[in-house]
Amino acid sequence: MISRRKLFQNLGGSALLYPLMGALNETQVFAQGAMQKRALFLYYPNGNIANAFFPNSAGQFGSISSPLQEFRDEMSIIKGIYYQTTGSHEGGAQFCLTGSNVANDRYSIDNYLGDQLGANSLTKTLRLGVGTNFQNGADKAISYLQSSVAAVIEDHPRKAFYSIFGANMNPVELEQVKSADKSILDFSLDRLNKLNQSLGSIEKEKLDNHLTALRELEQRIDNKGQLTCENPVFNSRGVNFPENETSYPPTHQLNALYGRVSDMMTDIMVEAMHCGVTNVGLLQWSHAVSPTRFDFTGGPNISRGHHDMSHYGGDENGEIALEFKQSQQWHMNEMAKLFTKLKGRQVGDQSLWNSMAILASTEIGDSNLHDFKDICCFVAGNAGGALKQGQYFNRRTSYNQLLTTVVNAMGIAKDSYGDPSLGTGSIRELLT
Amino acid sequence: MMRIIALSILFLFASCNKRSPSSDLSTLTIRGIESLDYTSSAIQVRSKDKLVFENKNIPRTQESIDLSLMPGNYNFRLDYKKDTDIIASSTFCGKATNFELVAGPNVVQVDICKKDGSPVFQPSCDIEKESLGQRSLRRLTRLEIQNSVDAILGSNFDVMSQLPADTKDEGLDNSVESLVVTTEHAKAYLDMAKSISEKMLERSQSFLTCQDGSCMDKFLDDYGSLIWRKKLSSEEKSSLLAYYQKEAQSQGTWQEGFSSLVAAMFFAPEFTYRAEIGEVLGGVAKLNDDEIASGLSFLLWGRGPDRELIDLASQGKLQDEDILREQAERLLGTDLAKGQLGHFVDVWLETEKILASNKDQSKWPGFDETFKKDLYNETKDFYNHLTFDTDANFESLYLSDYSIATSRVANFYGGAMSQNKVFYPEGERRGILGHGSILASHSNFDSTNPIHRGVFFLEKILCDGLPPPPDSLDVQPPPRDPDATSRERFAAHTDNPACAACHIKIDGAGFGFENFDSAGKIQLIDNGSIVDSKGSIPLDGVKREFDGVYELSGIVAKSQQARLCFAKNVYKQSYGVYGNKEDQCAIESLQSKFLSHENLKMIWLDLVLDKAFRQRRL
Repeated sequence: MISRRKLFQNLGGSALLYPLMGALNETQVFAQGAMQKRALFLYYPNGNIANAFFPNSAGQFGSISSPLQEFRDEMSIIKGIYYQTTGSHEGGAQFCLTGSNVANDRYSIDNYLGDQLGANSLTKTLRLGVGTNFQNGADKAISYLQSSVAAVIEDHPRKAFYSIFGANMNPVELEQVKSADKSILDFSLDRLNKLNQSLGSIEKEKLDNHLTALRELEQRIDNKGQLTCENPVFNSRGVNFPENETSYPPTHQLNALYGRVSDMMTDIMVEAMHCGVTNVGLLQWSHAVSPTRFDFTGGPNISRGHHDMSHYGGDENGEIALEFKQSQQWHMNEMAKLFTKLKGRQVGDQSLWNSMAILASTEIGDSNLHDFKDICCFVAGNAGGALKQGQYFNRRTSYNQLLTTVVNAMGIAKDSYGDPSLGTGSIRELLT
Repeated sequence: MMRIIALSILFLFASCNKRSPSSDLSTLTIRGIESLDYTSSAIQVRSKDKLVFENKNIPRTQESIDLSLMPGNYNFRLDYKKDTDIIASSTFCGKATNFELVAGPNVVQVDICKKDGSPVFQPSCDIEKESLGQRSLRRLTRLEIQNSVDAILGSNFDVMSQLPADTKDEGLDNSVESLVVTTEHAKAYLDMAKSISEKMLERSQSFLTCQDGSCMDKFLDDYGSLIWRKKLSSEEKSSLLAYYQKEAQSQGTWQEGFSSLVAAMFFAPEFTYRAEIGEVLGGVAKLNDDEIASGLSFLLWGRGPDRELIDLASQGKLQDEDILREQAERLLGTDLAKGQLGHFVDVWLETEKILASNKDQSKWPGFDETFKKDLYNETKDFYNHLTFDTDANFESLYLSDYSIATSRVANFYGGAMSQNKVFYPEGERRGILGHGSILASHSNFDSTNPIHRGVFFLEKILCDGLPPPPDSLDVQPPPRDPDATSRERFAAHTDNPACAACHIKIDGAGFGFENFDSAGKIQLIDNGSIVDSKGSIPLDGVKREFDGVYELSGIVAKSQQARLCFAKNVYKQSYGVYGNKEDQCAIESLQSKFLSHENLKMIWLDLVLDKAFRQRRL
């Protein structure tokens, strides 16, 4: 069988004009010619208040989830999904995309699917964040590589944009840059192999990670310039990101810009999905125990910190709970804006939105109790017809089954995701 | 009252280096106590009240004594004298000191106590044999890369903002375990290497002695050595020169060749990592001179070594303890060391948190970004002042009646300013526990948070770790009662038995901070009631009662546990390790040394001069 890469080589320069049809690794062979499926994972911090999130029996969304009401028929929410994990915010953060609470066996679903579906894409998994690295700790990471190492989340919009779309270069320049970059890479690979020999068995894992990184970087360099869209333009929304910034916090992590950075990252994610830069994305708002103050431009004007208000004190109709609801509603509204943008895009004659499976989640259940019950998560999009939409019901369900459902919806036959002892099989009502 | 007594242990080890002693005899080795400031010791060994061995004057300089005795039951008495005064002894602990010795090597532990009965700290391990760290490859942190690049370029050139953040791992920003190279790192490193190479090409006249590509050999000697932090070997040089030739040719100009050479050097693992591998000699790995030069420079300057260190390393001189000490003192004598030690205290006490903390502007109108930066800098400046300007001892950290801060901070504290010193109002606060960076960071928007303060205090000041909160506790925290004080609200959940086990400890510490409000101002009234800032903490194995932060600082300043904790933090950050079991012995070695002098600057020399600095276990 002819490899995808070979195909491109044979087509020569004209290949650049064709949409990337997707990876041709073993699990995806059958998808050739069909719509390329895409997955997107959304994370928002600090749990939620169930009564203001889950729709009531009349199908009316709660105050927090109200911005999503208009997508009611294109998403599904199950009440009763539990994380089978331990330990507060951190345990939940480590679990919410991995389905595992074993430290050296964490491979989050965003990276798993990226590795499965991304052989020929510029970026296997595009991970973007809004203030994600501000005041964060390693124990609150949600995205993990196959090696169980925490993945880097890019939260600088301008850097994210230009590292994906690059400067506009003509094909000759592009080839020169690629070739120069590969020389530097090859030299490093050579030195790494020498180091490897002199180290013997010491620090093997670290070197293996480094080698994997160099191989993937090489692949990215190879795949540079293969966009299926016109090069988009970066919209900084009036924010000036200084080139060489040493102050703390840096501009992109300023609380006052949380809303605008969120809009920029949403845009970049949409462009990246639309342009075939990646088939899998992660968009992470802040992090567990988020310190964000919701008095930023475009926010609900609350100056108490997000984690502070998440402990609303047990009275879910009290003043602080109300503030927290407004902040979580703001996160849902950002997602709604993202969905609207995705729905406006076409890839060929197909709707981008229809190619997608989206999973949104947070690290704990009730924000005040730190429990892992009734996780306020949902799925949206129909994954090219694989996901059944508009499903609303109550049932005690393992979150691992939800992860498995998403993996299955992407066309990968797998009986479980994460730790199989915490739940196997998919949620059948969600699959067509 | 439950009382946990920390065992003070004297290890009496089998003497292994003696050639086949008679197998009928019991053998043991008695070592000195590093942490105790004494001049000589004395030992008596009795068998059924009969004196079988005695040495009345063992000078401190004598590291150990070997004994061989017939197997049987013996009573040991050990005395430690400062001049003629017995300052510590096995008799002060009030316990029997009889031991059954068996034929062959014996390990026996004898408790030693001071006059007041408090135990003397002794390592629980054989420091001679077990105090070495692991061989490792350390990926530079983002800050270390920035500092190193600045040193090489001779000017500030931002690269840090282009690199992925080093997320804190168990409070460390330089965890040897979690710093790895992922694809995103590799990509950022490539971009960084290219931007540095452009910069160097732009300023090629500063870096090259020619402008035609004929002096790359000289460049490698002058700057290549700084980038790879060593005098380059002939293999390294020839491979770099070959690379330059190839790139100059294929890309067309010497400039492009030079630029590619520089980028390749910064992207290579020789720049990205520093190795601590050494050579295996006599059952341990001895670090080579280049590794020692980097170790020293990263420890005290947070960057790669300068030419002087690289030269000394290339001459094999850093194995010489006197030269190493001289170099450590040289490094400590510069402002770069202040930057690095400021970073140490920032990481240890998490003072960076103050920059993100947010206070109710209606209550504390001046609590803005500028003021938060003032509080952030205060702790670093104060710590550096103690370490470098006053040659202070440990207790000054907690007892100082002044700080180093701005007039804004002086006004906030209600203190008096004298040059850059802020003298606290009498009896209100002292030392670092009175700093706004600590009091305000671990509080809420408009109210104190005794839990966060308590956990901070126990973990960072006493190294008294708490287990993680129980799984998914199904407990309803108390609602916010508008009329209650913070203490009353938080006390409610200590009544719940599921929470009480940990919260008695956490709250006992945290409630003691209640006389400072959420922003770090003294408060006498909370929500209409007189503040109750009585607290109690487990300290040195005893429950200690206190009232308010001023008293708490006083008891911490005297505590052995707080001293041990400080030294442990120095070790953890210096080596980027969690301080787990495998590092315990090396930590205890440093702790012993620190207890004997308590000097804030000298502990860094202790680190460097310990053999753990130059050796690794296999």
